[in-house]
Amino acid sequence: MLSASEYEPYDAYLMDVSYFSGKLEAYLRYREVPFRKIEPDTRTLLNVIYPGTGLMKVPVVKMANGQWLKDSTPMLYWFDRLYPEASIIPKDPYVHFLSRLVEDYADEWLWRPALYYRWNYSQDFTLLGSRIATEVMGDVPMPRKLLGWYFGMRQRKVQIRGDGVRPENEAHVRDTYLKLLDSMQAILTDTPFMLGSHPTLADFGLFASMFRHFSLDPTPARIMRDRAPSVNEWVARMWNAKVSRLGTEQTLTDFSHSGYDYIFSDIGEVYLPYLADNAQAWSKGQKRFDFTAGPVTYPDLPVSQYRVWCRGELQRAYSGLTDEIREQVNKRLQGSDLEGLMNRFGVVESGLEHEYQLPLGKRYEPARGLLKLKLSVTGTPQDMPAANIQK
Amino acid sequence: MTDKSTYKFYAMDHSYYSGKVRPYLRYKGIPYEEIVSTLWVYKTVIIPETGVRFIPVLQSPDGVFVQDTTDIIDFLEERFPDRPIYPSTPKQRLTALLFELFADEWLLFPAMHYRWSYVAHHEKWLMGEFGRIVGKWAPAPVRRAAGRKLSKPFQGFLPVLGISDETAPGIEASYLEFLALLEAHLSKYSYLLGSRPSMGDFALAGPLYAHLWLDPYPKAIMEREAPNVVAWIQRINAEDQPQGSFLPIDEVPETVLPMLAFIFREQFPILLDTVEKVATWVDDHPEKEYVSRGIGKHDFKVGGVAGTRLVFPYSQWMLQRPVEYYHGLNESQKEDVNALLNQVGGSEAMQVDIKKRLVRRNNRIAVDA
Repeated sequence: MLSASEYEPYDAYLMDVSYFSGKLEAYLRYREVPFRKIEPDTRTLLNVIYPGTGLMKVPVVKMANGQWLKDSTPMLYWFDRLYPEASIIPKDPYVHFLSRLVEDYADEWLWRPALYYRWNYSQDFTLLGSRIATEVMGDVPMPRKLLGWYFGMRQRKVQIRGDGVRPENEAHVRDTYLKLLDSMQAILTDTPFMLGSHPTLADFGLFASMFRHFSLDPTPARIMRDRAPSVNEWVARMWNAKVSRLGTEQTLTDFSHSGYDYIFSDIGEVYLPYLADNAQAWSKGQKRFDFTAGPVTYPDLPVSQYRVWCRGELQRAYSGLTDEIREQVNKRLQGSDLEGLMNRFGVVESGLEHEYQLPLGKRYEPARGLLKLKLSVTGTPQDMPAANIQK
Repeated sequence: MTDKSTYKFYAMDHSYYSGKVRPYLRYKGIPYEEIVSTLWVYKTVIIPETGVRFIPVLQSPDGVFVQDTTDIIDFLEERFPDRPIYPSTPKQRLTALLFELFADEWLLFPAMHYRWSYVAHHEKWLMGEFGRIVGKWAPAPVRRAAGRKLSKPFQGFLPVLGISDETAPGIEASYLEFLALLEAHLSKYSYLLGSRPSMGDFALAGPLYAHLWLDPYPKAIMEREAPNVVAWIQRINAEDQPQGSFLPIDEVPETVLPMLAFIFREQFPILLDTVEKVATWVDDHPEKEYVSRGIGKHDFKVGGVAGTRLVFPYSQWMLQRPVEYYHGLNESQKEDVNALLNQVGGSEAMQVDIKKRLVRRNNRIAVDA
């Protein structure tokens, strides 16, 4: 494809233990795109990635023409336009919208169980702490053991306790993983990928947590092997999938498999209400909020600006549907009032509407002085409004 | 970050013509600061300095105000001669001018139709966007209310443009036809005339970005039907764009020809009729210094469907650019260009006799004395 050649080859900054890196890397491998894998240390994060993208996060991509890409979802769309054969973005508007829902849910809502399983159990804690201390923070002058322990404790504080996990709702966190496993097991026993013959957006979305967390960390991996061997098999299949072998002739279905019933009910009953409450809390200027859906409560959650943006993107996509398709989509949500959920609290501006237009349209000032010192200790904040860091 | 060399660009994200100039400023690497055109800015800057209430407006560091995108770009082309956006060879240059004319004038049909006929689909955003005009710090409900009030005139503009329930199917069919042609072209080339953007590309970016891509309903159509057009929108709006080059030996790509044929078939009948109506109007109004924005009505067709719309003299001013460029060519250049025009059904149209030449004076349209 002519337009792709000016961007090739790519420098893909990826980390072996990172949630979203696995998602992007699987795509690049699947599409057989020419890329060089770079595993950044903290110095690269600060001095190369930060000025290019405003973040100290992976995955990000620098293209041959010098332009940068960030955020796995817009990147998948960007690459899919450059490499349209065996597209991973379903063309049918109904299937496309549902794919976006599943992908967004997988990106954001599986984060908590993924982090919970990684840092809550001592075996996982010790192993991953030591890996991250060696592979990611290898250039930090501190004893490995201490560094791994410090990092793990910080994750427990920020990502588990700080993300609303309490003894009362731990079972719900585990269930989010376990019930999803059962659903995917049902689907993947019948088809090689989530929608049929080829991997699509839904696969790549779910792959993020399933590959780099659930099938990697000892505790959830054991559960996966015992409870959902088809999912285990799919993880390996995804990693080894190649367009050149699968061919470009796709046979895809439309989310009618009953295995999706649970996924769409969880999206409608829990995830979308969470997104709406988060957006409302953001619009009120809150920093934290309590979220309750049915019997479960997650207290004192951080308000996420990024997820306000995610919701805005879903709302736009929903508004772009014709009335007829919208009806169909509403029906698939297992009795949840999708229309109401999409309109609840109206459109809340995230302020990030231009942040993820690719290729990135601006350069970020390199960090200096105190900011540099701060960033080298803490990284850019979890909720990543690059635009705000420099204010 | 404003310093002495920074240009001020008064614009709006969802504004048709702002979407033409912004990628141009980025491509040229011109230092600029975009300023949201709030009511306050209109009152204190735009109206006093330009005499009219249109955006975008450019303010140069030495205090020159320029209104009208064509004038803005031509003004900047003189000051920033690197990376010229007008090809120097006749066929390519004429093509760029024809696309500018088409994008500025004809694409109003789908851009306005999809925005306002489907407004229920994207009212939530659009009113917030329009509402920015009351100021950045106004609460969202205030902005939306202001947006609803201020967008009324735009919605009322539809019948004036000839957009109605009757013409809607014609507009949609012809837009989809054009989109498919552009998609086919952009699956082979980065820009209209090769790997470098020209005036034609920037002009297309106006409606295709600010309306047909920002508004959710047409965006869904574009993402489905024309992924390469979406990629082109992203490409042209990025900073740090490589310069690229126009195709050698004045080549106009094979895939551009059907689009030129489309322009001559769909748009030129409207333009040629406008030229006649302008001549009559000027004869009838010898006392008027300026020509009104709209001068009576005429019948037209879009996608084969008949309708009525206002006659816009401004369109003739835009038409004069390619026509005068064509007439200024020497014989051998003309011969080359004629071969191209013959292929796309444009030879006759380009011989149009413009009896009353129009100029822009004080940001208004006037008859050339």
